[in-house]
Amino acid sequence: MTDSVRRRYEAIGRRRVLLLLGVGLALLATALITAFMTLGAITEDTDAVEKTLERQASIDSLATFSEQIAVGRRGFLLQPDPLFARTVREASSDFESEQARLADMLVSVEQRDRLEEIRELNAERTVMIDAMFADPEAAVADADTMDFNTDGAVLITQDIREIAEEMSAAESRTLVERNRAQLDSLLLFYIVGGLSLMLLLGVLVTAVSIVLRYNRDLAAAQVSLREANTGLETAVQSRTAELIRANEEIQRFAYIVSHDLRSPLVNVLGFTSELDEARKIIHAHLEELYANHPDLRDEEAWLAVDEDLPEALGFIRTSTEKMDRLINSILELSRQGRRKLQPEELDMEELVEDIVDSLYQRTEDAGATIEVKSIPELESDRIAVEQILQNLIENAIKYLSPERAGKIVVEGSKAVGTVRIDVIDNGRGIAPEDHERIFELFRRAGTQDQEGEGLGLANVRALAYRLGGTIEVDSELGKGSRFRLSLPAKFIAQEALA
Amino acid sequence: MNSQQSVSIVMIEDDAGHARLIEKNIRRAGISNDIAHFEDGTSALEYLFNDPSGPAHNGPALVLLDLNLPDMSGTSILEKIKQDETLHRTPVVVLTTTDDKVEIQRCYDLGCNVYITKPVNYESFADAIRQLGLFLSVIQVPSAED
Repeated sequence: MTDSVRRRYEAIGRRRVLLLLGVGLALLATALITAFMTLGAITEDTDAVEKTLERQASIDSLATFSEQIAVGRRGFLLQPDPLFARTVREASSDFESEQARLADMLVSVEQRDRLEEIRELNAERTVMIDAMFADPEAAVADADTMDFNTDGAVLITQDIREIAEEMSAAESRTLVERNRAQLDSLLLFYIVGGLSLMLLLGVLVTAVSIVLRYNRDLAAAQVSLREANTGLETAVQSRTAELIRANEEIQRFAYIVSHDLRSPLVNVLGFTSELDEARKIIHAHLEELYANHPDLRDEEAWLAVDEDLPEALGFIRTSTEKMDRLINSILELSRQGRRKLQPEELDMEELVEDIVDSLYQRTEDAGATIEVKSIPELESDRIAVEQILQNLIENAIKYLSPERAGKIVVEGSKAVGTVRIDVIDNGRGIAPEDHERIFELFRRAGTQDQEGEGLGLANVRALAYRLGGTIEVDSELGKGSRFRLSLPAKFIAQEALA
Repeated sequence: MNSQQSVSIVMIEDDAGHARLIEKNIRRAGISNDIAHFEDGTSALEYLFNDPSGPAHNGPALVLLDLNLPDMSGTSILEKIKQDETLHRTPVVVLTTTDDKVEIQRCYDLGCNVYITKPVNYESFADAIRQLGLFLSVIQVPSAED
């Protein structure tokens, strides 16, 4: 019952904690994945930017080489120096290699188209320059009259310059886009990361608050438990006190009743004797009268005085005497109930041996043997324990079976806080229906061939209860009996607590 | 018994039967002193302290006291007698059914002179009373004025 309730509460708590942990983990994973993704995007963007920049640089170089070609050509035309020619050739070669490099790098179709245009223009110009180098003198002569503003090579260079500028501008636009994308990725990273962090914090706070609440609930539960315990203790104490009071009341009642019953008995017995005295006088008188005057003899009167009256008086007397014994028994019981118990350390083996020794003659007469085995020590009231065991052992001797030699064993054992003492006999035994009855006051069982008032076991049980113990019987008719006395190893006087 | 002045016996006993049996057996023991019988504590105290023919004013006496009385406890009568100026030397024989040790001790503490438990067995009872009679015939009782 309590187990299942505990399990249910535990499951609720576990579910909550697990749920929170799961949410936290999911959030953490989201944050991590977002971070990786963002990081990837940023790296990609950075790569792209780098490439764009590279392309731009290449375009710039291409434009520069183009300008160098143009400058070298113009210089050659003004003054045909082989130095200029070398400059032009070097620049041309640089231009071509740069152009090839750029062609590899370009991705967009438009840019490729533009580069193609540049290449074609440059090829056209190369043709012109080759012609110039082939016949330098004609070229120089032409140059004197040449209008540079309409010169084909100059126009080509201008075109190349313009296209290169366009290409550079296009690359710049790409760069701006790339940068914006990079910024967007970063922003997304910050938003997702921040959100995850906040949610994670929320989960943490919830978890902590749940733990705190559980803690508070636990503390409250403990407090109420302690209160309940204290209440229970108080209840037990007051109940015990009530029981003790009730018990004392019964003891007092038994004492007063038995006591007041004795007074009338004194009269009954006293006047019965007085009656008998009077009868004796009449008896003597009649005897003398009939001896002297046989003619006056009345047989009925004589029988009344000689037989009926003594018989009646005898019954009155024996009944009253029996009643007196019963009253004395109650008085004795109540007196024992009022006796203050004094716990002390008892060497049980010695105590039992003493009892057995005191019963030596009776044991011999009954032809029985008594064996005392090991019995643990205990702390209890000596007189009460002695009375209990004396009674049990006496009973064992008293109710032996005539069919076999009596064998009585007293043995002890110890359990947690309890000492058990068993008195075992192989006597006549007790029928199952009498197992409870024998402990009742004035009740006896089996063949009534032994003297007794039916007091012993009632007293034994009362004493065992008073000592905080129990007495039970285990018996089979005709086989023997085992009386099991259980006493607390350490007796604590209840009367002292009340 | 005091030969000059006859000692009267005051019997305080609520049970008429007991009183009769006690009286019979005292007489059988040969005691012929006056016996004044009271069935309750109030009238007994009245006689003891105030009656002109009672022991306080007239002559020595011996008290036979039962402890279970209808209107008061015998011990309180004992206490009153033993604390009184004129009566405290009067012998008190407590004759009762109570054989409780504590009660007996209490009676002796209060100054009771003899404590006798009434045996239920009549032979013992008669015997005890007769012996009490013999005892009464030999003891010296001081008069209240002594």
